[in-house]
Amino acid sequence: MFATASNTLTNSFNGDVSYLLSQQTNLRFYGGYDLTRYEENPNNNSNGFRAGFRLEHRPTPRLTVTTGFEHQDYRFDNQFESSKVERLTVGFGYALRPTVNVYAAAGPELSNIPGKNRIQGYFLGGVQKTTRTTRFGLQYQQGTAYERGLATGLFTRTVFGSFSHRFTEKLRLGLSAGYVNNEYLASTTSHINGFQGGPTLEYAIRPDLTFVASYYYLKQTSDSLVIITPSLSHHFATIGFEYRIPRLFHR
Amino acid sequence: MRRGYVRRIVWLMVLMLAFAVPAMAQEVPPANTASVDLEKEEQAAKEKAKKEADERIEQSKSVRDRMFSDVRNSAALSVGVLENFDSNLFYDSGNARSDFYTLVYPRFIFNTQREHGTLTAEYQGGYRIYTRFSELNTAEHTGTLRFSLGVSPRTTVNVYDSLSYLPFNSLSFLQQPSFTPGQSGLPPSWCLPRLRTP
Repeated sequence: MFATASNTLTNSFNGDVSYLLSQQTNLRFYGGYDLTRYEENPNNNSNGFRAGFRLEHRPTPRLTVTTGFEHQDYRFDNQFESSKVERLTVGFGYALRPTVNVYAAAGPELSNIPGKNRIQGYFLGGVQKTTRTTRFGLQYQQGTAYERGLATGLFTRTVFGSFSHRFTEKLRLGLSAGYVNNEYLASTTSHINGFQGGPTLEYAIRPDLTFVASYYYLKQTSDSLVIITPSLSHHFATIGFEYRIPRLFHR
Repeated sequence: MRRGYVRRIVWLMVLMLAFAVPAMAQEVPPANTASVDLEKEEQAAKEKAKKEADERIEQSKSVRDRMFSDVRNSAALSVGVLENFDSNLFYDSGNARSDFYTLVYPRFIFNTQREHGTLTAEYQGGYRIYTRFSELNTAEHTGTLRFSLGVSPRTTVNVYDSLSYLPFNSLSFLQQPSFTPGQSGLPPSWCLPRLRTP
């Protein structure tokens, strides 16, 4: 996967300032900084920076249209040259019902992985539903991304879905799954396909005591010659409890 | 070197806390806009819709998170024990080695809300105890800090920081920085949860 057996320190700092231009229009400036530090593989340490703005306009109570620009910059600590992405997007969000939203954003993006410039299409779209008992989300995204910690530029296509339903006041069952198809944008093109998914069950034994059980399966295949573990499968299961200690203080 | 970074990040969080709480208590001048009945009705309808949406989101949260739904202007502490099975500890292709490990963790949540701002901090520590590969026993830390401040009736500032120190096999390949919710396009804020729950 990330080809490095090492404990990892990550920090992601994000901030934004929103200014309401009118009752229907909002302008948002945002920025973020990511750092990743490998305890035993400092050569993979990397930094990432992004900044951008987005203009949001709501012509009707149900419809929001947006446009924005974003700049991203990632690099290894030990490399002078960084990888960059410039992305321009136009999008919309529409409330089919008070509980159901569809959204999409698309636009051109220029990526500069050291030695290579590319112009590609970025797209993100999905649907989400939130009721008192149910959460459902399905999202597709394609565009340039960077693997956390490796600062490796890649073109990714990701489908992610999640469903969670509360059957009673005490019992909730969730199911999530994602499929990723990554194409690495290095000097030699290689691919990674990955699937990950599984169920989660939560049960409130008491208001302050929760039982949780979850499982997920991961399958990865790759034709890369540089990744240490190109193909693998992985099962992971968890069972346990969390207890909330009586109130500490209240003002 | 790692300690240096942790120290800097902890200092950053402390500074945010130190500035955020007094800033939230400051008086903000009232809006200098003419209020007409129609606007008031629209505002009331918006607030009602937002309240209903917030209630839906609250009700639809996970059972674990709902344990802390009353944490407003207060703090809460919990402890947990999880027994885990990992079928491929080192992400090997042909020589998968499996093991059970026990994770013991405390979780701390703090929230303070004022008229113009909200500050929420959450920390979860933990220690992993492996059954066979005891050399992998290790501590882990995750923390988040969210700060929102209405600087004026038209201007809002949000700050979010997420820190983690985790064993190498805790990362999911679906977690990529460019997919940070809210940063690109219109992704919903809850649509990319960690697949590895809890």
